[in-house]
Amino acid sequence: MRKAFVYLTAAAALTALAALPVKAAEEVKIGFTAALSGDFAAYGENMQRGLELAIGEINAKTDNGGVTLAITTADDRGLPSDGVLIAQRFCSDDTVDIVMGYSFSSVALAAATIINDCQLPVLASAVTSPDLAGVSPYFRRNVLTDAVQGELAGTYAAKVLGAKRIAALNQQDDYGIGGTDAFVAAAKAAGAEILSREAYVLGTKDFKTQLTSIKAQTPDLLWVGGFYTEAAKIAQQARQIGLDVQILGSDGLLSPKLIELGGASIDGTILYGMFDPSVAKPEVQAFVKAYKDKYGEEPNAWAALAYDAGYTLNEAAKLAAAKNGKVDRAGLNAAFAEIKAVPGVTGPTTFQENGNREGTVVYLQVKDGKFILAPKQLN
Amino acid sequence: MDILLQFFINALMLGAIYALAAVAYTLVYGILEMINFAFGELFMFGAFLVVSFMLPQVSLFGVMVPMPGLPFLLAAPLAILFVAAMGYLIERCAYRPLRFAPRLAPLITAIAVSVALQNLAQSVWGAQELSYPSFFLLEAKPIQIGGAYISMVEIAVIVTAAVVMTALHFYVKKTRMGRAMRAAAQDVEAAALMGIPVNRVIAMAFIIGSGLAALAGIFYGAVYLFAHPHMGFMPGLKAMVAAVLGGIGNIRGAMLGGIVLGFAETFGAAYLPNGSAYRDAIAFGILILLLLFRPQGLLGTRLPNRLADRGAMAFKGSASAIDAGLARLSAFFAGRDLVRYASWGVLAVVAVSVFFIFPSPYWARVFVFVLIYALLASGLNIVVGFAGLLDLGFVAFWAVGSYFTSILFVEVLAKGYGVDMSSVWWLFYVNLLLGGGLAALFGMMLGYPTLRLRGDYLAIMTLGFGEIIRLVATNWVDLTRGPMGIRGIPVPSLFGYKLGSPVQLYLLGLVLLALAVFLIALMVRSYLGRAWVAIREDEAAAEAMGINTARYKLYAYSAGGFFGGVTGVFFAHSQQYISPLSFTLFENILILMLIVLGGMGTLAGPIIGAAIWVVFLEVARDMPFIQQHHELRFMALGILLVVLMIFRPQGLLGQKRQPLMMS
Amino acid sequence: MTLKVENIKVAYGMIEALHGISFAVADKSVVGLIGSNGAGKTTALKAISGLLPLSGGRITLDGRDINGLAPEAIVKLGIVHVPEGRRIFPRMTVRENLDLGAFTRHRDATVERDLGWVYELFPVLKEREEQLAGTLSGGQQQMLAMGRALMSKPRLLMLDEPSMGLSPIMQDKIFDLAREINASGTTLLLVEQNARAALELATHAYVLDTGAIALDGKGSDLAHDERVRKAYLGEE
Repeated sequence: MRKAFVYLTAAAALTALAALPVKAAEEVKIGFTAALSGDFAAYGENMQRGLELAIGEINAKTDNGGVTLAITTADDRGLPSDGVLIAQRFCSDDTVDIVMGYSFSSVALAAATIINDCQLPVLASAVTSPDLAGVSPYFRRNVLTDAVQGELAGTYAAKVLGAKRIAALNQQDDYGIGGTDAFVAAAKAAGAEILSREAYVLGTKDFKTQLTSIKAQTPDLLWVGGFYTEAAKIAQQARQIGLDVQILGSDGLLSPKLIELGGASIDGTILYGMFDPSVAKPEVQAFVKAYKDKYGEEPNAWAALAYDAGYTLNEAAKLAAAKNGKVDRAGLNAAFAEIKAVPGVTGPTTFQENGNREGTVVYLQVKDGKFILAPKQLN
Repeated sequence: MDILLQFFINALMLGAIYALAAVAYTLVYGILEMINFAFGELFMFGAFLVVSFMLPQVSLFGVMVPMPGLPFLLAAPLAILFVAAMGYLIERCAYRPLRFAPRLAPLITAIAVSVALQNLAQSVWGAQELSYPSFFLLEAKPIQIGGAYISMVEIAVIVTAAVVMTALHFYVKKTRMGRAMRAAAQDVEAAALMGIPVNRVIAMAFIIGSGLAALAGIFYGAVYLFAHPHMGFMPGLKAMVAAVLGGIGNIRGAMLGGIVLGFAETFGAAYLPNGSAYRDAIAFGILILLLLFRPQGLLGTRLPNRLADRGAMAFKGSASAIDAGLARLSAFFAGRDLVRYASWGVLAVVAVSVFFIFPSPYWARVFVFVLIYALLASGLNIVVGFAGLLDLGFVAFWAVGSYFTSILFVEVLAKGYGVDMSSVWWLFYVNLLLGGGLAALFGMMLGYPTLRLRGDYLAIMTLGFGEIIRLVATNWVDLTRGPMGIRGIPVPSLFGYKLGSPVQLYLLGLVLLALAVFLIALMVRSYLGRAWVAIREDEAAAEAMGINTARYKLYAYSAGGFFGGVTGVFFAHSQQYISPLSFTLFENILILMLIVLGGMGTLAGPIIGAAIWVVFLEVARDMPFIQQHHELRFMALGILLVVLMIFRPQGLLGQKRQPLMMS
Repeated sequence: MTLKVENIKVAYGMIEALHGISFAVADKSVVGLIGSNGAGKTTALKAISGLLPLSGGRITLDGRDINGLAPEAIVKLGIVHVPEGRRIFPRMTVRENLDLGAFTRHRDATVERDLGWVYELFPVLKEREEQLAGTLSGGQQQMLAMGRALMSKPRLLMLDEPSMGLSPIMQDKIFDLAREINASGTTLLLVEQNARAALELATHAYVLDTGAIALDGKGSDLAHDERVRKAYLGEE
């Protein structure tokens, strides 16, 4: 081990020396962490792909304010303890300027104290727990909290879709519980009746039992607060047992895999998200095409948010470089507070003081194997 | 009525899938008395292969590869053959060299193979779910009976399972090889003496079992329309539970166990309060009840003296084995005392001096984790290494300690009574003992019903216990805050002086580890330790020698649990945040592997194992191919362990253990 | 058929159980191995039948080395071992047990003929053909174990403690049957604690003591040997 330490220190010293005189381009190094192995590696992988696509595009620009982006990745397996270790790793690594990623709120929560202590900025793109709001002046995310999302969705269900009898299914984790709590409250407030609410564990395959019970309740809307993998199975199995009900899902459903896995059964499902792959906006289409070319699949919400996070970081880094002549942790953190309405495929990004993102969602519907803008939107 | 019918069909279909896989476990267990954990992964390969054969092209290792696009009826048998061949190869390369190894060796190898295969699948097919291509069964219209719907796939699953089971029944009853298989299951040694080629019979059991597992996986994929690298893990465990339910080793029992489990799960999820969140716990709950009241399983026959009756093909050492074990143990402590003290001294010096050379808080934090895993592994080592009881639910003790202190500090004192947590800093030290004590109590509770069980039954029972604790921590939101976890746990402090930096935590952990090792050494040297070793080497003979094995097993569980609980308290306060995600079965397997790596039944083994593995995991993060394929870190661990089991089963530090017996 | 055991050593892990023993079994003879508990008699049989590896010495059948062969290969050469404690397959029928005895043979008329012969030797097995073997009495199980072994048409039949746990009447019956089997041309290697009966039957006998051969000679000679009488026959 000692040898490794010596090499590490020597290497670090050498790079420091080499970096001093040149100073041409300011390299901003991203420490990326997410679940990249284990049951839920897919979500982390999507994020890494979205982010790496953005980095590649940014570095290919001829004029980027003297900023280039680099990335180092660490697999947290979705474990809070690994999150702690990785946070410390990035803190101690002076070359790391910012932490990005995080596929689970609990991992980010475990890491938060350490990140805060070493004043390392974080820009997360998939963690929605309200607990993370204001957890540290260095913590930001470009995704709406599940509480905000759920409330919007509850109102939409009752007011816009006119649902009267709602059955709710939620993923048993902070995302599913938080979002569904808010959804249920908002839907009730808008006059709908909640017939039942049941939880399932992420990774569940068999929903027939719950769906059979739900079928007997004759709901007019089924809420799914969870991810696309389970939602696809819920839709398939609902059809298999002859339950024909409008499904409304949270933004965890926003993935082309939903359509691939759900097949014809998923048709008609309504969901929301900050990213609308169907929009004819040129930047969205360019993103979808570039992503498809590079990875052979269509991007989902995880990838799109991570991609936008890359561009948001780039804006902050350019601002910091212009102001201070260099990009460091403190400068970057200050710049995040200043940047406004950074354009992206999920809409413009502006951060609130507590690190949350300002913004709203769009409602989408699956139609003939494609996402389209839902005919009815909230207000 | 419609609802009941729908439930009935769902249950039957799920039960049929469990039954198919359960027969695989039972076939192999019957002959080798070994739980082949890898069947869960062969199940997964069945689904992946059939999907791959049916698609026109598939992305393998991230590269699009053209595939034949075969029809289902051709792809399925091909996938089954493929998986059967894999099963044969695994038996030949990983298990057969261990035929005469101590009983834990093949079991641990099986777990290692399973970890390696899981991560291999992720490297090959990626982490995304692969969707099942449509074929005639999926396109057919479902049959409608009243309000209940039965899809063609479900009918196909139930019918095929029935046909395959009937065929298997005739195979073992009527054919030459089938009879040989039954004979070997009843008495391997006698079968060999009758000229039955036992190795071929075992290979056949693996081939048939793997084929059945693949078939079950293919159906499971077709019903739920996907394939995923981790899809086999839970169904594999459930099938194992089904096999035990029916009386492991009994083929008809496995079928019945599968069906029973399918029904229990479906109806439990439907009618128990919050049933669907607890559905995985239902299977394990039934298992524990069954083992308590009818340990031989539903259809298993209880033979008067199974041990004498069966005579596994192994070297029975009986009393002489104990003598040898004890002699070895005393030599271990007498003759080499000087060397041992010296090496412990060196280890202590290294441990303290590591503190001076930490180049960064990061490496200090890494070594905090080394200490946490070393503590956990030392605790588990009492149960596994010294007493020879495989424990797959050890993380539960860790969880109990963690949750105990976190709930007390954050939920009760701070939130409930508004107590300033820094004013009760001393409570942390009290909680180390209380948390340990509570976990020890849980150990007693877990130990008590398992006392009458031997070996693998015990492993499955502990596994069930661990999973239940994790599911309770996830779903009992009012107590544990569920998946949101508990945050704001104060760092340890001393008279108001915070010990929160990684280096301070390292030193605190070092003190805890030193104390733990000291206590464990005291126990191991006492009569207690000798009794444990005697139980490990030959339980029946130990009992014959007047050792109250039940009592000493309980002691082992509670001692191990105590250290697990203590570690949990330290862990919670060092992290300041806990959630159920930390206490998974995979973590348990990892801790078990650390012990095997370092050397089971040694004091320093768990520490060395933890140091090597945790540091390797961290260093490996920087390797270029790991940056692209993170799952390879764990595949490497799996392969390393299989190799280690074959060439150095005693671990890096272990003394050469004699191949005394299998049972 | 001649079996020669030359200076074999067998160890369980680090403990050596046989320290180099030698003996020979001549064609059509009855050879007895006697000795107290733990002397290594069973170990010697297991070594011959291929269940235990040798750590030294060699075993030959008609001059051909058989050490290292798998148990099933040794059965095919005509050596079959009826283990201590019968070890029949308890959850199979009597008939299934007997069929498994003929596992190494091609199914033909000779198998049927031998089955008839076994049923002639042990009529009780014929009566209980369809009964589960585990439900037989101790003596019947011993007969089944012997019958099962005979179904492989052995040249050398090794019996390990065939009289153990049986009533005196049943013991006599088993020894009578053993004599009958030998008379039909099968060589016998007999391990027994009931030294008197064994020496009565044996044409040649060896006395094993803690892993080594202490004495050997004609069965009738040993039965009159002072030391044997004291140590193993319980006579003063």
